[in-house]
Amino acid sequence: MRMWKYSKSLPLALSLMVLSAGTASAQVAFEWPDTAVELSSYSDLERCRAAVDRAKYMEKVREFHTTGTWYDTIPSPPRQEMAPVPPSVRETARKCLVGATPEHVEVEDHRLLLPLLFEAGQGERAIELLRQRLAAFDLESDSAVLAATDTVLRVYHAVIPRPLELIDWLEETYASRIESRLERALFYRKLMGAVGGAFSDSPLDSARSYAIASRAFLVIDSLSEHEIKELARRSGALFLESAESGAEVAQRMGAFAQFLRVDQTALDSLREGTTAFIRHRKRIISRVLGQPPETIDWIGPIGHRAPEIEADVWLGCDGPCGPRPTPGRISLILIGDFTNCGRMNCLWSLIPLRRLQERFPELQTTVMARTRSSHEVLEGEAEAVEWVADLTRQTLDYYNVRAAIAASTYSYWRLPDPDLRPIYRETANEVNYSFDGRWVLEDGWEVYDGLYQFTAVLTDSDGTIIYENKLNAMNEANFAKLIEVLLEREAPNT
Amino acid sequence: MSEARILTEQDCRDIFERVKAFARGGGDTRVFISSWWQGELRWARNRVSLSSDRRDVEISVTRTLERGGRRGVTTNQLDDHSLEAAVRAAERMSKLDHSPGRGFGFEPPQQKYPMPDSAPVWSPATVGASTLERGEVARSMIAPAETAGLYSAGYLEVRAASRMVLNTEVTDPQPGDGEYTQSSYVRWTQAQCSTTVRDASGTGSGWAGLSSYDWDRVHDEAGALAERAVQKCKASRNPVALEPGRYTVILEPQAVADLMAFFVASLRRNSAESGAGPWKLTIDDALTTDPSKPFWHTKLGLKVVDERITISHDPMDPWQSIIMPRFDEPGPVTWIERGVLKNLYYPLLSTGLELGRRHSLRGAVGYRISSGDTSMEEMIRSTRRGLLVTRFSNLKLLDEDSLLTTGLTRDGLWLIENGEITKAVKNFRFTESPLFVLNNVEQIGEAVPVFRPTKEEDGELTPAIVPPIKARDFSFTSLIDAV
Repeated sequence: MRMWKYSKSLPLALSLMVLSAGTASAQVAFEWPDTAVELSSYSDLERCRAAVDRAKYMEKVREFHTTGTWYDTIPSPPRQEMAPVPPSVRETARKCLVGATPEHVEVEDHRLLLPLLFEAGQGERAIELLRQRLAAFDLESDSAVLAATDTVLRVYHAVIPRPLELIDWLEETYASRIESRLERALFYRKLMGAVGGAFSDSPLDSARSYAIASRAFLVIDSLSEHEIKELARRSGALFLESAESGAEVAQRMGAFAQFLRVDQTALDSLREGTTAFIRHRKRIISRVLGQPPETIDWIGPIGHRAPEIEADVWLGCDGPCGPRPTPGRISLILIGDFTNCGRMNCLWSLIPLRRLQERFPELQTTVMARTRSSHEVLEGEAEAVEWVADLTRQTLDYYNVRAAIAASTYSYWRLPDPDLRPIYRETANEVNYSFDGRWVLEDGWEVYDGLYQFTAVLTDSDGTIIYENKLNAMNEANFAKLIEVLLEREAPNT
Repeated sequence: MSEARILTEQDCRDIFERVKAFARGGGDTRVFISSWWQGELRWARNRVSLSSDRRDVEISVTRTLERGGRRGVTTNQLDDHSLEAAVRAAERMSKLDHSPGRGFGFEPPQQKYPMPDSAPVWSPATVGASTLERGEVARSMIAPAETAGLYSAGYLEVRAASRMVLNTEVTDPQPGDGEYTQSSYVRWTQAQCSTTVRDASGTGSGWAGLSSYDWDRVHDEAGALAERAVQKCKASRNPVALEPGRYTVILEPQAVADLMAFFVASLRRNSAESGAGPWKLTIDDALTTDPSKPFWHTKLGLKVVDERITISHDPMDPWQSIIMPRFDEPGPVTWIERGVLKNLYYPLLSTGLELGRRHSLRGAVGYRISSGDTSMEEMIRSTRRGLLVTRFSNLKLLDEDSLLTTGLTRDGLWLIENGEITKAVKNFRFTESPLFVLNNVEQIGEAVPVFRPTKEEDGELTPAIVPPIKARDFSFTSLIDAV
């Protein structure tokens, strides 16, 4: 047990008193919230942490009863990291720290104490403690400074709302102390990771993000060729290895961020036409890779015509089922196993999909399903493909999503007896959508990481693929922006 | 009296009706009910040190409200207040979750499976064994040791257990329902007895034991078990130290069963297909579309041990009574037939259906190793130099792929020279694989039931019928001081 009101060498006698108390008197029957608990009597950090976490949990329960939303099972609302501390949580932390003497807390217990101080609204005390603590270390070497940075960022990531003042303090205190340009570039990368990239749609603080990014690019601009290669290796961005100057690195990083987030220039090009949009995407990729645009011949399936979807069973069509994508309709194709959503969490894709459908009722949606994905269907059963289609329909109904379901039978051959394992053949859709082996649909069906996020393909009214990505809350905005422009193009007055 | 030691089928149905009556808000209600009773008697230094009767129940209430999650709460209290509290708690948790899953006809309709038959697993003699009766058996087992001036220690245990699953919506058992399946009332008994006899100087030790579902069998064998332990104790006194090394060994049936523990547990198809354990063979690159999921061929159909070895299970053999798994292959199963790997355990859902099978295939929970026609006397007579092993203990698996195992010999190890047992030998640590042993078989004797206890009070039967085996080049790696 970590005592924070008393140093560790202090009262053995107190411990003995606690131990000798009756079992019943040592137990506390918790009521929700902790009205019966005298928080100021808490003498160790773990109990304070537990009390604050109970208060947070009660806030979630309260929110659930108010909104019917439980955020463990669906994507968190945007900017959740900057949500203010609820008054009940702040009050719990404050009461628990009454009479505390943080200066006497052992250093190894700061991981518990510092977030509690922030949650209690005493961030200045926390920063002062960090300052004192880090002042005790010899931070002469770059690696020591970066280790100190990690220590501070660990505290930063443990607190909501994120204490952005820690980022300012880190930069003011340490950036100038790092001698190596490469290490300083990596230091800025850590800071950008903490506040959200400058090119991100939702950085925690836009002004801070741009300020940090501009200083980071100044450092990167000064890197030698060798340092650039090292930066690419240590940051895992191998596409930067071929960059010849720091300026080029900065440019490529910016282009990469631009490619990921579908910015205004991309939307403008799409307004102009699909060809202009594809050309724009290729140009950005060429800037990311540092190659001439004419050498870029593959940017995923974007720019290719979406093959007509084949199916053994169609369900849920609004009118005739084929061909899909239907010429003249803006179409979204989802690839995934929706038959297992009773056990796995499909909300991550289906809630964004429902929101897209509510916002764009004209959008045509098709789900590409196949028999193998439902492992509980008996192999060889003639009805298997009907079952898969029906299970998919039930799932979509449950989430109030409307879509045509195209279910295919997955054929296979078996290894000889006694092994007998089935070896599956690709369905026609998998073959057609592989674009000569350059794209693998399999990924859409085999996502067993607990969070089902399905691959989605967006086509324009001519059936040309405009965008493909996992459909989740992060990418929802990209899909929405593109669909909006496509619909604008189709509107009669434009 | 004996019936009241566990819950009857009617008791379970009554509990279910009460739970159903407490349910609010519609949806599905499932109740898993298990109960067990255990009577035991322990003795040491020829005196009884423990005699007890214990019992418990487990009522696991699962509620699935409409559009809610499937959530359960467990209690061992049968009064109305406790059952209602469990139902309310399960409903609260169900509301907090959500699922479009089971309870609303989500799964496709699938074939119905009758409960597979098995030999009897219930013995009135076991569930009726009184404390007095247990005491008398213990006294009869202590007496031979006391008369011989030796110390006897031992443990007697009789158990009964039951379980049943009932639910409201899913009335037809379906494999797709998984654990959410209504299942029939099942009850079973277990009895076991083991004894260790030591001499006063602490240099000799003998052991014998037996387990069965039927107390009468154990009861009838008690005198013979005690006598065997006494004889082994006397014969193992004043052991001499031998150099560690490779020896021809004659493994008594209990030693074979001890050594086979990791072997039978490894007979799993999923492990082999994912590249783990001894039954994987080679990676087939031609069938590997995703490098992160290599395609492993298995050793199914290949000869893996001596052709005189067959390992199988017949559910109708009264010496191999087990609780048959719900969707299991109803007939006999052979995992190794004349040395060839024929089958590996697989579950119905993740593998059985993919293989086009309608049942799961059970693992070697209970098993028989085929008999040979060599008597123990003949094995000894035909051995120029070797060791006779009573049993092993403290076994640990060292290598999953080769099943290399280490452990200790215990309670009787003797040197055989020129066809005769010549002297008691100090115990060894061995480091050996049952796979190697089963490929170095020289002679096999008649298979007999051995001691196979389960530790959990509601654990299931794990019978084994195992022969003595004579094998060459068994590796003993160090001397140990344990007796």
